[in-house]
Amino acid sequence: MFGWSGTILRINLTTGTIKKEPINLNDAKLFIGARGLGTKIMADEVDPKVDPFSPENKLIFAPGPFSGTFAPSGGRYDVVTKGPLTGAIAASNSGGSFGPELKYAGYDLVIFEGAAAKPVYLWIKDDLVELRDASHIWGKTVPETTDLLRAETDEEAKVACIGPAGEKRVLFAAIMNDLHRAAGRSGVGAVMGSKNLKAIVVVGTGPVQVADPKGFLAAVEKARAAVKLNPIGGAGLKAYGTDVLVNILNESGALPTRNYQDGYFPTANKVGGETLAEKLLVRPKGCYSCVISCGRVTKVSNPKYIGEGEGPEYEAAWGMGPDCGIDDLEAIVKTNFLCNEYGLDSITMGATIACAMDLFEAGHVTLKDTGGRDMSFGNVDALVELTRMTANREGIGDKLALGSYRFAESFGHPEFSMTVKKQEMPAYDPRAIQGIGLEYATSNRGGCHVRGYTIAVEILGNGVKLDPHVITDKPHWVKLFQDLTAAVDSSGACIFGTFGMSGDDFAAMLTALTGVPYSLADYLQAGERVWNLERMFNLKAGLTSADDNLPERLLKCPIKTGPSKGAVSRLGEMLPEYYQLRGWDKEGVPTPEKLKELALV
Amino acid sequence: MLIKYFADVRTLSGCLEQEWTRPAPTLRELVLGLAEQHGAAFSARVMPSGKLSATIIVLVNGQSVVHLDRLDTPLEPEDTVAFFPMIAGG
Amino acid sequence: MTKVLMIHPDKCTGCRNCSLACVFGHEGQFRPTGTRVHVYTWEREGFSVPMMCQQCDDASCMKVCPTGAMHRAKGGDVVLYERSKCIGCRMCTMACPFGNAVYDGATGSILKCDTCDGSPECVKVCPNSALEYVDDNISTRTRKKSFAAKFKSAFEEV
Repeated sequence: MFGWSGTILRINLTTGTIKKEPINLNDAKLFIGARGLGTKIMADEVDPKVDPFSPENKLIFAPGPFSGTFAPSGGRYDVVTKGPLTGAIAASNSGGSFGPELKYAGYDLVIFEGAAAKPVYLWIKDDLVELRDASHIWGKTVPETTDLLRAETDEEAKVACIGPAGEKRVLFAAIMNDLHRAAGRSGVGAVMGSKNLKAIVVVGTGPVQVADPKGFLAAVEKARAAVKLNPIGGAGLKAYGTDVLVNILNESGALPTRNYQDGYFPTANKVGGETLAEKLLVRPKGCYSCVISCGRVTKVSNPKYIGEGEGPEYEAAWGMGPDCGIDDLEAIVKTNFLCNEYGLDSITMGATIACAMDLFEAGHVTLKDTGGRDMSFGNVDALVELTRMTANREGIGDKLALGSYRFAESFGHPEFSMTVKKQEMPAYDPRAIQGIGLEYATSNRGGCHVRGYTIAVEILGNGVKLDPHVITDKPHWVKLFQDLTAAVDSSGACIFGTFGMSGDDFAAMLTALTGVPYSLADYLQAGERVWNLERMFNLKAGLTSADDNLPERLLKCPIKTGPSKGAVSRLGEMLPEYYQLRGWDKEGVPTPEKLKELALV
Repeated sequence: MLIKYFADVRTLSGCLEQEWTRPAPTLRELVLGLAEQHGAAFSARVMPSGKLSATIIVLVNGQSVVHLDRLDTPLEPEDTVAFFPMIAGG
Repeated sequence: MTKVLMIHPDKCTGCRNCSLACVFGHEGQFRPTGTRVHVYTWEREGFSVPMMCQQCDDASCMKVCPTGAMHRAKGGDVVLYERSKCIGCRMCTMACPFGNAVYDGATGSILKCDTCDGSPECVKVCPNSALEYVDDNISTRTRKKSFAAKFKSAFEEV
């Protein structure tokens, strides 16, 4: 087998049985791998109405065919499940080295079913697969867990695990791998905690084979050169990291400030990538087979926030910074370290605290509710302490652990939650940037920027420059980005490769690697297929077109200050055209013709 | 006119921001004036061969000049002009 | 003029493209145990170091090899490995003080860097200039100069 390893590992945590099955090659061709193939398993085997914390939900770790090769920045994997935060299909994507190691061990998918009676971890060494007791590491942080598990298995083993947050089922708990990398969103870590599964530890020594080595090398060299030439992929991301976006979003008047009350933050520069590079950056870091190295190795020496680790990424720095009215970079970096150590989604954590601050200043959350703690915008101590309390579900942290929607709802004001499908929208104001608003409203996992990253053309001008304030053609662009991203995710590749690489590059590499011919049209169609499969899962789970919406604040309350003052989101004008382009009916349901076209019947 | 610089453009200008008081009816005059002050490296980065660089983003009051009139974009004394390299996505 | 494969760990971001290019260049597939370049990452500090055979002038592996499988061509830079003479005694793996000669059970042979016949794949692929294939007399030039530049800055400020 080429590209794919050929085997699915199926673990029943209730019975303790471990099975190996051959991969369904037809499904692999249609859904590629990672996000796509994991979603196919979920669609085939799990009732979309299932309670995410029930043993009937499944948790799937899935690298893609590229993972383990030197396809540029091609070493990723997805965790696929039904997300407890959103009640929708969840596929969280992560880098590091974990995904490739699963491929070397010989597995394209690791499927967890049921739930263990006591804490366990899975140890994989090639063919050897065993469930081991994890009682002695339950409660430990991500770094402690990683050290302990390597000591009892292999000092170079790759570890994916949850921290205390996942164990306590914080609805936005993350699964961390290689210490600093996160399958972050939608609460995949809480599902892992609900199954009493603490970690997966893996060593793999087998090969990923290539169908056409010469063709693969040629396609890879072309792709590498394209990324190198691109100013973002070739130099910018390595020099400044994603956090360099703070200033350009701010200067565009599109930096959501104080829980989306405004779109401009006067002291934004203090928390931007330039300042990070100057003050706290140790060196850049790259994931497995990465040619970009956007990762930030960072360190804070200030005794108040002392720590070392990686990050923050832009959306995390935004959530803990301008969204909370905070401009203290050291506090933000420390909070991000804490999120990694406890295993929390840094975006939802920041945005949830911002929502709580908004409710506090409006008087809907009182000092009585907070145990005497001031939670005004700009309160740095609140940011750090509330993160610790959320991870451990202490005091008001127990309510914050539900995410901003349920938190705000519990205080009678869900409209304060800046979410779509109960997941927090990151870092780009839809009132100032029309296309990303459509992406937020229609993304299958709720408020998410990365799966339809029109910022690349609306703000950055990567390849083409669109006016962020107009709605013309935005549905077309959103669909294009969504479909291409779904295909790239499913390949096991990093979306940042698109800063340089085109769909043709990905399709050519995939063809040479697997021996399965993918034209550009086939590749994009695979992405469209994955998108529609996710949509069908969500519809069966009970979501409707009413959930393809944005908070009232973004539709009705214009931005107050800055370059985009006066703007609102025109989602309503874009949504019908989007449904039409997607081949869906007026209720946003894929038509039978569309499903047939995509081989989804 | 307030001029702001970001990321590696700051290395070329030597500062984060500056006030520009000399007349600059369009972006072209402004860039030529700034290049006189900051040197040939600045000019080569922003306006190679007399055209706006494809890898520089220029915002006038938050709007990209690509959607205005590029180097012919008219400027007012109260405007804010920001120079960014095309540098990252997230 | 001898060429050396110079490592700059301070520039390494831990991406492992070098390891991947090495094994792919030799085998046409991605077998993690088939690489002659190993990268070690200390995750807390975010520090990574690529390691490969240093082609020692006075090579311990050559001294202990009973058959001359480990040898150097007359006037050559590289310590070469002749598979057909190898008896798999693995004395070289014990003798190398750096651990850069590795026994590969899958193929029953010794893996050690051979500079890909003078055109090292790892150097070609490194996106971060952490590996260089340079003339020996300038092998530390970039590093030495980058520190010299600090003196230049210090004196310029006065």
